[in-house]
Amino acid sequence: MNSELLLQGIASGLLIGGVYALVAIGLTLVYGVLNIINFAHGALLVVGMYASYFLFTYFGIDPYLSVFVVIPLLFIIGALSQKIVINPLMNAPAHICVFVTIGLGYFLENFLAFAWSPEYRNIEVSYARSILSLGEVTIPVTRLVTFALAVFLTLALYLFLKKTDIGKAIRACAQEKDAAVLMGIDTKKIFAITFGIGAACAGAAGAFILPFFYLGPYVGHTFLLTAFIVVVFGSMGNFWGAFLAGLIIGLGESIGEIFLPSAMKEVVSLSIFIIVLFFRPAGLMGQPR
Amino acid sequence: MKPTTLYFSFSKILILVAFLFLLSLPFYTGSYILHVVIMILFFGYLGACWNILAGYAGQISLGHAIFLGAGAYTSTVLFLKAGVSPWIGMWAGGISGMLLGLFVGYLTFRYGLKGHYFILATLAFGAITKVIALNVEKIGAAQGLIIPFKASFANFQFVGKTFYYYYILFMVVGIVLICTAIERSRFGQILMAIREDEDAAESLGVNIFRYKLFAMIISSFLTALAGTFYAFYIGYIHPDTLFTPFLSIQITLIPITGGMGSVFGPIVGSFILSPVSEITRGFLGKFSGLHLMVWGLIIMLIVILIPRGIIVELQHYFRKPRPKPLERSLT
Amino acid sequence: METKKTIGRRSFLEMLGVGLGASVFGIPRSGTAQKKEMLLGSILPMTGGDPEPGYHVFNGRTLAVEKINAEGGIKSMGGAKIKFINTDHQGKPEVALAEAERLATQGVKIITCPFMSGIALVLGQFCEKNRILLVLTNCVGYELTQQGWKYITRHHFNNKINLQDLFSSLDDVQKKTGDSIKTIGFLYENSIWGNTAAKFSKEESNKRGWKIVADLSYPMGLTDATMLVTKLKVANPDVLMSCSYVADNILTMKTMAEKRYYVKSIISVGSGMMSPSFVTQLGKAAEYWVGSAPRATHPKLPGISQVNEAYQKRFGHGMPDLAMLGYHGVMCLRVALEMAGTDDPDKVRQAYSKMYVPPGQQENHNHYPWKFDETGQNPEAHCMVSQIVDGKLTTVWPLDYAEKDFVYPIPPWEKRL
Repeated sequence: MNSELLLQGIASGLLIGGVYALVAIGLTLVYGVLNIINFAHGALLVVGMYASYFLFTYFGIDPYLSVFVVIPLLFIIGALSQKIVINPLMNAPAHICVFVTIGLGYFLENFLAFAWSPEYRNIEVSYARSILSLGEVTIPVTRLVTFALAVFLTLALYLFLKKTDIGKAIRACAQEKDAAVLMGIDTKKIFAITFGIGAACAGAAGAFILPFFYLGPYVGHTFLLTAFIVVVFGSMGNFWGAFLAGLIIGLGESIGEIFLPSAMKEVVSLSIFIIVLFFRPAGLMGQPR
Repeated sequence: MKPTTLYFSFSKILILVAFLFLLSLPFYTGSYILHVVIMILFFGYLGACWNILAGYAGQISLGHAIFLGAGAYTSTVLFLKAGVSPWIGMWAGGISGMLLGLFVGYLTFRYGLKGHYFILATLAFGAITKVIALNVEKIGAAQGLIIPFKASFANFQFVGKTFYYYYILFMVVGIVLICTAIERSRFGQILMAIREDEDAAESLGVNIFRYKLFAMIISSFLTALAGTFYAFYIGYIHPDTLFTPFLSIQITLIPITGGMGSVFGPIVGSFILSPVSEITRGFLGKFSGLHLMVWGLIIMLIVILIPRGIIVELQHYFRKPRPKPLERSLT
Repeated sequence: METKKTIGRRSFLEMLGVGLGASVFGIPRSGTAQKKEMLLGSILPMTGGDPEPGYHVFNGRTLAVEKINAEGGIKSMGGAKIKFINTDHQGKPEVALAEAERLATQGVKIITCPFMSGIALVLGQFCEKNRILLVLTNCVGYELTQQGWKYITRHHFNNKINLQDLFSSLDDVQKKTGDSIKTIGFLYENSIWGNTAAKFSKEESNKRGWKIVADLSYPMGLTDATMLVTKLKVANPDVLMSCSYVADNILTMKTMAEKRYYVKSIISVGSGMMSPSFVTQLGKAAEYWVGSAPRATHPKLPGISQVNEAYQKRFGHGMPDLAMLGYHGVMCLRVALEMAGTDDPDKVRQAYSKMYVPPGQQENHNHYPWKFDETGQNPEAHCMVSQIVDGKLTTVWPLDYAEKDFVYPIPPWEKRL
């Protein structure tokens, strides 16, 4: 087997894995606290991407810096969505929330299609072509930065949850909702905030992938199923798990692509998913839900 | 008369009238309307099949399209490659759908996958099936399979829509009867108990694995039967139309709107959703995305305002006690 | 862009209105009762996966219809004006069928478009069953004219011709530069379109004795093209055949630039990447890509510049090749209708069979004539192969229509970036 293929496979796999991890982090947080699978996560990612696109095109703001706007914007959209659309259903059976988020997703992405046409768009940052070459392996700078930011974001979120009061309140809700209420925590507010954070993470992910990906209203679909796989694989609600799982899935896909025809590459991640669901539904980190 | 009794007598009359109307439809409408109603009945049928697993047993599957696809592909391949009449092929299709259901059900229920895990597992199975179907040359892979039109009874191909119409109407009647039977039977009662509280049911000695699996088998078999109908009615099948998650979701929206866990819910749901979708597409389709945006809004509204679906909400509103095995009730 | 929803009443009123208006303003008619307005059906993807092409085709067609009606409609039908009933199939076969049914109810005898091969197959069956003529104006699926159908015509190239032409352009450039091609690689999306392109590419490669060193199909909707490009790099073909939808194309092109993947030429099936905005967005990564796209600004296409100007005036931008296809489809249909004097599908189909319109006449602004064989295909329809040079599309083949030389081999990356 060709060494270039293998080494490139590992490098690319880790890099795309970082992207998957980034997308999955918000999703796993929302699941951990609110116990809902947010099917609108992909759409929220795209909203963030569009915001970043406009900031770049009209104000020349670099996508990586645009997060300072995208994060608060998506946080607000997320928190509002939760309040209006999801809150009424917090006590309904699980699948009901699934459908409401499906509807929310359709609404958001088609709003984008309607408002700004379904055309594909593309940006070119000045360093778009810059690459790092390690022997035969090429690493685009953009993907490397995204990877680094994915790590950074995960760390930041982790510290936030661990050290701040709100963070602790969120964790309390995740672990034991009723007890949290008894402790005087305003669970409704916490749910809105958490969903907002999840949306903000999605939006940030969108901004971070804009430099090397293309823009379109339905781009979220490309990442969503993989994000679910990562979440389950990494243990639902656990984000170092999600991070690790993202990397593994990314690697699996990339290396799988060496041996399998690329047309089958989805089979790799889907098979991992199914195996995990059956043999270790608790996921990598072993925390049952 | 008490409102409850009034409602339920009225609804029985309504059902009868509706049925007679549907029975006579081909005599005074043209091809287009028949096509629309055929599609409504088709999706109503699919929704009702899904309902057996999801509405009665409480297992929400987001991958039901694969059973439809399995049925369609089996009978189509048998017809194209071995000249087997679809009248026989449809049973082979039903069985292959059932085997697929058995496979998925066995794996998921044996390992105790519930709630969200089950939903995601069905999604994953759906996705894998699609990828596989797109890559197997023998069944047309990404070209899809086209069924050359040669009208004959044996071929399940007819000039004009009338036969197809009565056939799907007959299937709908069939599923209504089956669901009624399930609802009234002990089997159905146990399914509903499992839906309400799985652990409690188990503690009462119910083998939940067996019952859930059985529900899955019935649901998948019946869904797959319709696959043959679709294939020979439309004349062309393709993994992107038959194995896509969008189709699975479309199937689920119908009972959600009309009423999960009720016999007529899915049928009513289909009669409501299809025109709504046609109208939004018709008036708003010219603005790219607008009609789907509205569609998303409608889904959210339905789920928030009538989460149990219209029929079930009406039932609860009129405070009818849950149908017991001995009670003769059509709803 | 309207979609007719209510059957009967609305269109009846409109027809009534047109009829009244026509009789008030006295449109001449022949002795026998003729329709004042001829309804044609159109089923396009206006939403769903890829709505942009549908939009361009629609515009091109609109321009043609307006011109025809301004010139007096179909003269052999007593000046009947053409009116399209426009519908959206959303990429779903059962919706396409529903729309076709509805059109049939309204007495439409001729339907155009659908654009996507899968939908076209379903519609083809429907039209064949119901004696409706399906006029393909921008649908390249080869299999469509291989079903033995009578009621189908296509005035433009199919994907077999497309690939033959692309390969021919490589033949010519090899002869010119003396740089011979020995190996080839394929990169294609794995649905019906990509697979058919690969099939014909294999045939053409085998004919020429070129070794196929890479055969890479992938599922549409890539998140990362790095491994695909790396595999290509390792296989190292002389030239590459690529068949991708726009989004994946963008990603692949970017990745090739990132990896500095070198190949002597890339021939691309599918014109999405040839849209001007696409080219400017990708900048240097798009240079030297070759595809088939006739241009409304080509100096040698007879009379096209006036059409382009009219299009520019009407829609605010230059006429893309998809619009050209839509335009020509209607103009070709006009010829058939004039010859037949009726919209009866049998007579119109016969008219197509008898038709011969050389380039430059009767609004045929192509470099090939309009004629049709028994399968309904125009056997003389060919592509114009274009290359992106300095951010602009230029035609490089056929040689007598070439504006610039085909740049081959592509210069190495150091000279490009």
